[in-house]
Amino acid sequence: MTRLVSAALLLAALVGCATTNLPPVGTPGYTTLEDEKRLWSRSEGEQQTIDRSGMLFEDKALEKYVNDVARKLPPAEVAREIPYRIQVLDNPYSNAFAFANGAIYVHTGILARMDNEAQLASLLAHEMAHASHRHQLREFRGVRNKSAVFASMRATLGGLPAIGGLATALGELGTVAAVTGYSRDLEREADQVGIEWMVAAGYDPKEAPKLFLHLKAEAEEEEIKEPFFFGSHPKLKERIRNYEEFLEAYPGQGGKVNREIFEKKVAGAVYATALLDLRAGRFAKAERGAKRYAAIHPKDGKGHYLLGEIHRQQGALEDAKTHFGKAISLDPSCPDPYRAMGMLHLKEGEKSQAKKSFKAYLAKSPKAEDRSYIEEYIRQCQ
Amino acid sequence: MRKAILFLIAVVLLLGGCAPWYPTNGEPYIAKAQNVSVNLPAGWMRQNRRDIVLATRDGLPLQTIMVETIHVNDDLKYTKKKFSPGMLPQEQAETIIDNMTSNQKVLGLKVLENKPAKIDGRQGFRALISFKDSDGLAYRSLYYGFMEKEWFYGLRYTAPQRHYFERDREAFDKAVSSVKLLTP
Repeated sequence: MTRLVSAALLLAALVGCATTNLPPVGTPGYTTLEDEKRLWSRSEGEQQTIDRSGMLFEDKALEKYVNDVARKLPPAEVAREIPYRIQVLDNPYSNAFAFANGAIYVHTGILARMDNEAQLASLLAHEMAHASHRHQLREFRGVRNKSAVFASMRATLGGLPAIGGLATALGELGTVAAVTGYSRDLEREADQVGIEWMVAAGYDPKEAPKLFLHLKAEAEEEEIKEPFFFGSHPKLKERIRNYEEFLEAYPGQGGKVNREIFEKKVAGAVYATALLDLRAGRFAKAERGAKRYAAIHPKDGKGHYLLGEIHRQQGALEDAKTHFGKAISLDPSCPDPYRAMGMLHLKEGEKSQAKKSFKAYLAKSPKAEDRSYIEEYIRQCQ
Repeated sequence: MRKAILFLIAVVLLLGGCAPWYPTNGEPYIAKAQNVSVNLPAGWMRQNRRDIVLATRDGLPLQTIMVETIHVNDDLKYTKKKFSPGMLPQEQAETIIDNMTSNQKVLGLKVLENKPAKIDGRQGFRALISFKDSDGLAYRSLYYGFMEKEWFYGLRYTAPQRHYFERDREAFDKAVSSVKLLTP
């Protein structure tokens, strides 16, 4: 938190008195300004770095889906001016950020914590509003000696856990968008505009604050001192209060939630996030993700295999066996649960069972990368 | 003048806090804290830190041999997972790789090879890993590890993929083949 406060003070100290009162994109009086063009050009450069970083989540169907949802949100006069483009980053932390030119990045981690399309629409509309209301330009115009500020800011904020490896790929604009966020007033404005857009698109606005409740629970569970998506924004409780206040303008307003289609589209991101959580030893989060994946795809053994791994790695061997067994019964052609079962039997001294499982694994995966390990285990079982 | 003296004192104090570097002579080096004897390549420089021994010839960013020991109760740096007694070599490798994957500064990590290996006659693993650092420079790491009772022993060689990795890989392999535990 100290780093965020330092960065905020740094920004505040260097704020000058340049005009920051700019009409939103697509409203009367709007024209593209020279410094805005430069900002867009720099945004494109930074985007290329992120795109080359190898951190994009390769799921074309998901990318198309989030872009389809995004297209429903902004008014036509905004959509004409800003070529919004949403991309998903393979990152287990809950974050999303927008560049001035409408390039928006959403982490798999935040998608995995959403319940439905309405919550996704809320997040996207908030980020898109940052671009339509020219928040990056407004924030930048107020800062003198920008290079010094950004260099200091990146040094101060470098290595924050919530952006993961992305920290290294972010340029100055990306750092502001993804790490420091915007001033309280601009965040509030993006929240308000976001709700207006999601309501206009027919989504249930009551879903908007729910995402924040998930993030709050996550922050408390993980004891995250600098919860990201809201840590750099107005404090979480204040944002939830903001939403409640905005919702008063829509008494009894319902709308679409689209849970089923959302679940199917984000299933891959849920699984990938659970896997990364498991690797990082965040077992509770990994288990929630794996259970969710198993619920979305009840006939796919992958979810139970992952649940088995989560239990195995915590030493809950009986639970692990149960899930590996379910994974095998759901998809007998999948080799991984056989190997996992073999390892459990081997450690328990059940050599004939272990050998049988390992042989089944190699039969289903003759070119397995860990074949030499398995052959060694089989030798130990002789 | 007074400021300059204070600055010099601060520099001396800071430097005094750093562990010294010693030249290696190719003889067995007894790393008591790591419970290991290892022949580090001759003509390199060695540094002992609390938990690890480091060796390099041209500087740490260009090639590093690291010898480390980790107790089952020890926290790992990047993952919340821990080693546990009785782990199979494949599980040990998985723990090390997961720890590296969870390091935010390691990008695009790929496991190129992961297989059983014997170190000092003990069953262990050998993993070849590629990754990029924060500046996009491609590195390779060759990692050998094994467990003895409640301790994990790891030997890692890391160097930039181009030129350096292959150049000093043989020296590392020789160091690995010389490893002996002081007290089993």
